[in-house]
Amino acid sequence: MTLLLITGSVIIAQTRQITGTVKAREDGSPIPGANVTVKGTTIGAITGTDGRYMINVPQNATTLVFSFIGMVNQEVLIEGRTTIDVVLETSMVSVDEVVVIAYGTATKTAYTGSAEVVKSDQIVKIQTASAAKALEGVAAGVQVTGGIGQPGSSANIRIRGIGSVNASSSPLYVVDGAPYDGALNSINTNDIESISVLKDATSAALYGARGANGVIIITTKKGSAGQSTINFRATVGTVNRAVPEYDRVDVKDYYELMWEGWYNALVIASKFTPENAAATASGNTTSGLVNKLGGYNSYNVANDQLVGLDGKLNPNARLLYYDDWNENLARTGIRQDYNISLSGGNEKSKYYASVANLNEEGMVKWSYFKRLTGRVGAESQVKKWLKMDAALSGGTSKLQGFLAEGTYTTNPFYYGRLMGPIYPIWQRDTNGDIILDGNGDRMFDLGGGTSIYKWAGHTRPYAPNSNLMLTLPMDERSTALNNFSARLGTEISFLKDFKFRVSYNTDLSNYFLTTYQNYLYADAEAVKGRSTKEYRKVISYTMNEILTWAKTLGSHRVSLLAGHENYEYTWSNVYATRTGFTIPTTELVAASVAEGNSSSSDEYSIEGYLFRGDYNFADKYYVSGSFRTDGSSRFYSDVRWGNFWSLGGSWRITQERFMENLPWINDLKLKASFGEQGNDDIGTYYGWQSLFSISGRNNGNYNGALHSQLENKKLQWEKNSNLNVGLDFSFLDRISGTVEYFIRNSSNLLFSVPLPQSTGISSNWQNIGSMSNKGIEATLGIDILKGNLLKWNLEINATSYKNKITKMPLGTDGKPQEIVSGTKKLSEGHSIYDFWLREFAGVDSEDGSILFYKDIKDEEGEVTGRETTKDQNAASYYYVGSSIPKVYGGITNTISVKGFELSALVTYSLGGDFYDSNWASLMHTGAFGSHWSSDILNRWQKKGDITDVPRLQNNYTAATAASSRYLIDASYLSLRNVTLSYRIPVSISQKLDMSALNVFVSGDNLGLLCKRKGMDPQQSFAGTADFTYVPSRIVSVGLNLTF
Amino acid sequence: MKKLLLLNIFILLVILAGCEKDYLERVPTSSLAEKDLLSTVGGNHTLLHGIHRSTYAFYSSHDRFGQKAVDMAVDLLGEDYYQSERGYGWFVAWYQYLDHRNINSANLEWVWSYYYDIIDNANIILANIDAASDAALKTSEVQFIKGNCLAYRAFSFYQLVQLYAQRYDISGTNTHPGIPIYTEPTQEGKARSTVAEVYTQINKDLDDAIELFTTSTFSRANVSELNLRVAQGIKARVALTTGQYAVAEEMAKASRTGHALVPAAKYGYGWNKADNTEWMWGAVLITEQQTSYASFFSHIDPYFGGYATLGNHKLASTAVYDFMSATDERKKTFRTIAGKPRVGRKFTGNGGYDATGQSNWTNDYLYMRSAEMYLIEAEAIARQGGRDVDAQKALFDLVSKRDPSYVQSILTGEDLIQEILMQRRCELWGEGFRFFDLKRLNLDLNRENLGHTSSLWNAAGYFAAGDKNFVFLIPKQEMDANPKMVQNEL
Repeated sequence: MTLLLITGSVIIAQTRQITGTVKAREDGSPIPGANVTVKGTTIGAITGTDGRYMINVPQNATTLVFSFIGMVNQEVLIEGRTTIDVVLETSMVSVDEVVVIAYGTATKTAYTGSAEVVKSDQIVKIQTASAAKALEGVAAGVQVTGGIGQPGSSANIRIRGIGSVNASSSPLYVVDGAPYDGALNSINTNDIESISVLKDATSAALYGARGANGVIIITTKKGSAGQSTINFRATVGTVNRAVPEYDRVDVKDYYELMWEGWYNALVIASKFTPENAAATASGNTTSGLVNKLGGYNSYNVANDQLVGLDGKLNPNARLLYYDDWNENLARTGIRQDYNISLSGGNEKSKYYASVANLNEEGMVKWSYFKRLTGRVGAESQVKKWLKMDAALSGGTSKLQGFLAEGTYTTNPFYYGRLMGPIYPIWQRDTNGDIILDGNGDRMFDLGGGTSIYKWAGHTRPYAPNSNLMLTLPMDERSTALNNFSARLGTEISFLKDFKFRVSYNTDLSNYFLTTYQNYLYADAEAVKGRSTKEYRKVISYTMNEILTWAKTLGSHRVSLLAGHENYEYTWSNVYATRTGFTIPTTELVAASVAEGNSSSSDEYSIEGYLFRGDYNFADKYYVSGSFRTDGSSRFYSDVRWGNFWSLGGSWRITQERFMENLPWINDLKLKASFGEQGNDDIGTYYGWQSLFSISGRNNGNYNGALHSQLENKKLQWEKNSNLNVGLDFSFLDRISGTVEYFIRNSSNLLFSVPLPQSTGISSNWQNIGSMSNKGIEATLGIDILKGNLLKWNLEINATSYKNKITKMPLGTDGKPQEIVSGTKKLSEGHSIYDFWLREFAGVDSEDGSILFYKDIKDEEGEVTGRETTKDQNAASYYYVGSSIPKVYGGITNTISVKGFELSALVTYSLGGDFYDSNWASLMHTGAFGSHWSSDILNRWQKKGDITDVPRLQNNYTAATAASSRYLIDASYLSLRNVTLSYRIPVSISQKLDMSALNVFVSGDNLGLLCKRKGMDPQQSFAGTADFTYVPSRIVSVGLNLTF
Repeated sequence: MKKLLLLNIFILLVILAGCEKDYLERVPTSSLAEKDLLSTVGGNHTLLHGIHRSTYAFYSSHDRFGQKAVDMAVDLLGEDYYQSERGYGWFVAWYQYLDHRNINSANLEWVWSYYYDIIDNANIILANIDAASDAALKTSEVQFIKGNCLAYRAFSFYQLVQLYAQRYDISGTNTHPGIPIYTEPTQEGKARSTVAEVYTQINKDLDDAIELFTTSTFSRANVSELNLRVAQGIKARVALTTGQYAVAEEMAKASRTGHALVPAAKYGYGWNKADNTEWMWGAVLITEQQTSYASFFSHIDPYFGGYATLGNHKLASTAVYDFMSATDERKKTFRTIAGKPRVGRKFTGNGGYDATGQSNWTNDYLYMRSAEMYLIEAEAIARQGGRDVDAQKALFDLVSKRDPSYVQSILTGEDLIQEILMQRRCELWGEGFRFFDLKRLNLDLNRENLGHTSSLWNAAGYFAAGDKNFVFLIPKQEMDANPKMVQNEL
């Protein structure tokens, strides 16, 4: 210290000191980290957190230059002053944005490709554990679904349409330069600096065999030169159900409707006389209504007095009890998210470190996600020619959930929705009061079985021997994840314009899964509990070596890149299942019977060589090209290597002389690119080999195998050719945007070509087929108001695309095949998500039968017309809609006044259809025990009734056959996020020794407008529903402070 | 200089990283490549064990667990075996004649693919085993494996043609559509052969299998593998279906060699464990291979907590129950449980007399036993005519081991046949025969007045003999993927 002071004083002799404060015009707040330099020299200083600076300038200095990102540079004459305070203006034309692209960065103006960047301030607004969910509605061309409410869940993404039929259509995720195989929910979104979405060939072709479906590059925070800062961000909020339950019938209607369905079944199918049927249904035999419903009578009258021979509930009956399963299973969860980070550095070295804790309770009791993450990153220009950077991150999390999809009895969303309203959670006495056990605890009703909670005389026909209120807290379905990522890079500069970078990257995820069914009640009671423990290890390594050369010669700028990359992925697991517990633990050591155990592993590797060249003339004309050749272990050696490339160019029209007369046009850039990428993610690592499965094939203690896959040595990656033409514009200092037109043609599409089941293996992987996605996407940003006091910014993005299958495999008859799968049929000229269903033709007003359309064919088999049929087996199938929306996107409004900022993100999707199978299962024809949608009240009842709901009749299967009856408009408008934040005035925060202090309120999933109450049209790209965990509404308060 | 040195090191790294030759060669751990599996006799035998396992594996739904699931469906399609309530709903659609009459039914498709998968794997072995490197050294094992494959193929064709085609008419030409025949691995769908052609193939395969088994000295690993006796047993079944009664008699008699009937006192104990002399063919399960809820015993054992306990009890018709005398041990396996009469406890393994039942889920599956062969023999003799005493004797040999007070029948002609058939219904209840017998004998399905809950059978209370409802529809997947396929009458 002493020495330094002395040296300092020596310098003072030749210089003079100037001090001052740099503030922002906008709100008068100090600007930390602003640069102050002496014009024409390298002498400079950086402002502190309070915006203050101190600089020693030579005696002969005349001018200081103040600069800060996003602000207009200001030059100030010194004129002998020793104190200079400066106010910087926000720059009108935003500073050229840096875009993280494949193997490097680019400035937005110089970039010829199509890439969208989402910044950290937008990402952290969405309260999610997974970055994928934060992309919804904020980036054009990006379609996000699967926004389910399970805490810790992620979302699925499609970029510019659907790229594949049977292979993956998901983009490649790249984190800090290397393909990422970890779980997205293990990356703390607060650590993310930006997310780049690479959409066209120029952006993605360098990822070769993995780039076909676009690339999402996540770049984490690195620290910046300037004063060290500590940031603390905390949010605390509540979690509730965002999508309401479907409207369902009440108890009275339920009994009457069940009676009606049963009566009709007896008359129509079992040929009872009407009198006999009514007497049977109203009676108290085993075929009487109450007994068919398992002996449950919610009223205070005898079973044979409940519903009269006229099908009406006894008017004197009084309801004794009603338990709402959904309400009892739900709760208001608490979500807490705490982050603390340290960052700083100087021109040579930078660092960033953070620790964060997220704890989210789900809106269904007993579901939660807890996560602790940490990250450290540092980089340093050690020598002029040597630079090194390293980043380590790790985390540990636990996700406790359910089988929240499909018709599992343990799925609370299936259970709570379909459980008939007459079934109670707790056993009742004759007064309807809950029966208590010896300890005064309420006696559950398991609806059957043999345990102590079997309610004598009651066997629920829907999900007997189960009670989720009893068993969910006893059971466990959890995933504990420990993950670790390392990124290490070394870069040397040599021979003037060359750089050589070697980076070594690894992602390691260890999953520890527990599936435990308790030993006392329900499913595993008979085996005295069952516990499965599974350990999964996923490791990937990426190593790349990149050589770059960049040179500027007058107006010519050239840069070249060449590199090599190899990638190796290993997945392995081991699991064991045991049954026979006598104590409440999930640990296998306590179980007496081994039920199964196994282990297996998969490997996958890629090697590639890559090249890129960029040329720019006078910042006016840009050309870039890339080439990559990849070899993938997924394919047979003869066809393993493939070539991928791109060519792009752009023209900055505003740089031309003739544009000088149009000063209101700030920027105008025309760009185009074309190229070809690959998709080797065909769902199987060994798709070309003829295989015999040995998993689960042993016969007792003898090894067994069974034919599982046919050979195809020609199998290879899917190809994706990608054309992009776009215009970037900004004018009047207010309006900016991008319009792009794209054509993606996928060819070599992997098809699971159906073979007749009678030949054994019922499908074979083949590269046959082509598909196109053509579309247009637009982003528009308008500064509606940009006064000093009031600012209003509007960002809109919209995407519209058409998907079309252009080539299908040829069938044995030489014609293009048509492949039916689920509710869809793949055929030429139609989209991948065109619904292929029976067409609902209404209800026969004579007898209430459901009607479907059926083709009339002449002797040659030509269709000459159509008629209606009541037989679902005879009904013809038709194309009846598509799940692909006409247009989708998001609208963000940001209004700021003084220190307040209000932003609202609305996402929308217009057009397209949704196959609402949840609703379909609530529209059954009288399945005992299952709940009913209120829409069932419109059923056909008597001759002449005009309705679109067929008659009730137990086991009337035709009426529930899949058809266009269950399709509904999928359009929606969702209030995805609203955030109101307030920046505490500097005068106050400075007193607290803080450089910034923000408080905010934020809400996610605040509203959803769609065609039917209860449906969640965002569940899947294919437009189908599956009793998933409904999305959560999260409302939080938070603060963000910086020291 | 230093920089150049570093550069050299980096470039060296690049070259090293430019990967070893086999960097891109990856093989699975949970599957075997064809060349690795089929190049040895042992590998082929591994594949055969995979076929055995497929007969008791779990097929992604709780009502699909291999051969016994088909057997259960075949019983539920008849009138002697039923559920009185819907319970969890498994198998109800079979009972209601909905599953096999709905082209979209996953169960309909599963039965089809279950047998054709066996045929495919058998064909792969038959096409490859002779070329195995050690085939010449292990001729006896090769013969044994080929015998298994041929017998499996015959058995699968036999099951399929009985389900997916109109019945075999003993007095007819049987030129109506049967099922496609595959005798070698292929990916090309074939057209349906006639029923007559299918039976020709079945008989050829069985004859070849019997010849191979006769020559081979290889002994089977356990009762899960087919052998000479099983092949003869299948042949006896086929011959009974096609009216070759002399063959049926001969094969039935031969097949039961070494498989003594258990005495009456033991009757209630043996049908869940393979260590029973009557068992000719079955599956020996171990704990980790049992399929819990999705298992035969889950659906049939009324005691230990599976679906049967939870409401899907399997009941016997009054016709079967009333036919048996009070001293008949078989009758004692039926009892009122949970308010339901005549609940079958035949497969509980402890005589069916103990309400606690068995405590573990690991039980063996029974596919063929010698008692059936006595019944085939008796019926075949009776139908040949003129030797009723021999038929009475064969029947007596069996029934006297069930009912100690049984007296040899003195009935003759059609009356004797009717008694044999009634004994058949009693003896083989729950083992997967009744629907086949309805078709074989061209009987009506009539569930009236047998104890059924009429409200549960939907529209399947009565179908006249030969009704289209006796024929399974061809599954939609096959119709879509095989242009040569022709659908049955809808």
